[in-house]
Amino acid sequence: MSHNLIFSAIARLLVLIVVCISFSTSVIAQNSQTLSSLDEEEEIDEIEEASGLLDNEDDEELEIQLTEKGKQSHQQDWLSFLIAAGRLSYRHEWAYHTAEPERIVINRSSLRLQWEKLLLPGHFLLFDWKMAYNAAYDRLEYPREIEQRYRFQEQTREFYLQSSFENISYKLGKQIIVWGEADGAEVTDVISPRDLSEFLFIPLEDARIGQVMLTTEYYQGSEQWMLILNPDPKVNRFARPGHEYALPSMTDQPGIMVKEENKPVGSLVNMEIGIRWKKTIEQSDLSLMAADLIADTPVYRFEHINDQGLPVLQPEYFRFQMLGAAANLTEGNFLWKGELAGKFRRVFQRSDFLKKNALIERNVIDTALGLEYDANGAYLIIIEISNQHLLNWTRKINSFRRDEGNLYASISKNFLHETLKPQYTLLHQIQDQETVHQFETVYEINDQWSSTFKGTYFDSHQKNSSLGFFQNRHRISIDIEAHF
Amino acid sequence: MVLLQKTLIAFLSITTLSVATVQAEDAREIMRQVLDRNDGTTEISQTTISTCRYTKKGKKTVCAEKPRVKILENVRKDYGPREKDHKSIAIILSPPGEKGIGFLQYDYEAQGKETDQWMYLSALGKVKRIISGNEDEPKTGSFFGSEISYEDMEARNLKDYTYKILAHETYQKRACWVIEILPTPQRARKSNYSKFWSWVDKERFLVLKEILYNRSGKRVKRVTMRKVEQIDGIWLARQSLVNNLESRRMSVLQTKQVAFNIPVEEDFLTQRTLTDGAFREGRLIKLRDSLK
Repeated sequence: MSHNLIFSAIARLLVLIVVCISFSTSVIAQNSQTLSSLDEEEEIDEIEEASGLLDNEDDEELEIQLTEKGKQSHQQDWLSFLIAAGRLSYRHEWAYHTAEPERIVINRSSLRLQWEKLLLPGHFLLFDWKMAYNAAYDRLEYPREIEQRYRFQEQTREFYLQSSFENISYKLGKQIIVWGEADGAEVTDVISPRDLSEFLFIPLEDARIGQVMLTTEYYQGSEQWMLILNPDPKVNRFARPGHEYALPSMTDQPGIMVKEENKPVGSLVNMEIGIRWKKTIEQSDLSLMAADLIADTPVYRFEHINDQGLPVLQPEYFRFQMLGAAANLTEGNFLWKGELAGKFRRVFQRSDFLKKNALIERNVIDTALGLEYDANGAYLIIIEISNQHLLNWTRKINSFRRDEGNLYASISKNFLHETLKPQYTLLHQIQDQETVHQFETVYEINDQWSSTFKGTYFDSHQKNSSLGFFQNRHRISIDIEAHF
Repeated sequence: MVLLQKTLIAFLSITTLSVATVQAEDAREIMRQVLDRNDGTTEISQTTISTCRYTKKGKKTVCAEKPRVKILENVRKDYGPREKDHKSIAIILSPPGEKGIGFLQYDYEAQGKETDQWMYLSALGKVKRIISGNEDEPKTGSFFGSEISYEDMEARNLKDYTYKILAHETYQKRACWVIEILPTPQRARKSNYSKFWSWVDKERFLVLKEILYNRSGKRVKRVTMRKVEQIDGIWLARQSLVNNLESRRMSVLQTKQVAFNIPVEEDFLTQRTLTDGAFREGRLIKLRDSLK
């Protein structure tokens, strides 16, 4: 507990320092720009221009202001200089549930340090670390374990050493690997597990979990080979029971005892292996992938009946294999993209799971097809449809349908010289006919500060559907973010 | 930056010039000389784009807001018999929130062959192919929110325009032709501009100033070149001022450091450079040594 308090005090102090520094540099910059002045521009007509009477003095004077500003930006960025090749980001998120119970669910400040540097010729170090303090836990009543776990959090997103020689590159350490082309579906993107502890609300840069891996990449012209060896696989992170976004699970079922998860431990036996070949062919990029992995979500295996007569389940993570392909193609205003993956020997739980050998293996075909339309810079539309199909499906499989389809769509358009960026996103579950609507707008206040408003509405009416849990979790949120 | 310095016809690519001279004062021939300039087979540069909205304050004109500043590092290499195909890479150095975002672009001279573009965002964690747009329609949007539009960045094709010498005058103490450039009807359909007036340095075949007219015939932008220097035997305007007379915003594109014709290895202008930090930074360190 005292450990937590110290961390939270440090976090608050750092936030305060960062905010003070930011405002002081902004004020200095703002004042200096008003020192320069120039003559008012003369109105001129075409004849005067043709006669060489066009007066460009205004341009010249504004040029001085703008180029001086460029110099200032370099000179005043002393904080960046202090942390060398680093970047420090501060963010405060505030989120409010608009449905009962109405309340502030996130009131979180976070600091993120990213540091990257070429240490020696050909050897590069990257470090990406974040800590966050959620003050919502100061006011709201949560189980003590949840408070302790989620009030203060810190994690190293990536921390690796990369060495490059001629056509080959090695990367060793904690890293994130993203495969595939799809934006709204997981088809071939199977290497890095996800942080699902806040469902859709998790910021993009926090959505993946780093793993300690050795990655080797070989480059030959427009071809690229990637080999991944992961001796310490991690799994998806879900919110623990009692958390605002804890999904219903086996542990909620009465009359069942669920043991602690048997998460995979680092060992050669648990080694994950992935290989990808990628090539650019004319207006297209093509990837072929194969992987032998441990699933990122658990399956509950019945063990025995305990002394109290309760069935005991053991959550376990089972191995599966994947063969996949991804491709894109540009044509005028359109970008087509598609992914196909066969996932073999996926383990599922049978509906009659309170029996020995109640697990069942099936193969799965995942597909996604999408297109992006860019109206020559005016706006961007993305539409993507994906499906997960279980081969030899049977009703005996618990919680999985034969087909699970989703439609993902978004439209975005920039305003105010690309400083205001609104976007509407829709996620539609085809079988349940339920939809998530999300409107988000980012405003870049200046080169350092930006703010984001986000509203999310769950159009869900079925209690046991995939979105059912969220039907009372509509929310609005405001973020403010600064980079130094 | 490379993309800009090379392809911005009015703002950047015309800033360099051949040492050859033109005898005949033929407008089309003058512009051919301007477009076929020697701009080096490779170019490495660090560029700053500063933009602000300006306003009148008494008798003075000042930036009405804190200028937005982007700093980019660029590498470009030309290919093909006429060196009209280009591969280029641009990495954002500042502002901090965009630091590390990288763009890779392949431009082709052949008609109908679309530009290839990829972008790397660390938050996304992967290289993403992006749409370069339909060349048969006017492009909207601006480069990093500046007053330089995507159309401004496109290389102009000599045959897409007609040319006429309007006047001879001295500008920036240089003898200049003032040339009127009109898009052909076919080109006009794809363009945001209906006319350009260019001030071309008679000795160096360098565009020193250009006035751009929108589709309604109204003067919309004034582009001015400053600080012309000869670097590695190639003429370069270190500063390009783009004044949008409608929005009353101005961008200054400043080439802080540059080097031409430094050998750039083929594999540098590939997707590897976007994702492989050890490879990218190792090569850039060597290239940066040549910057002037």
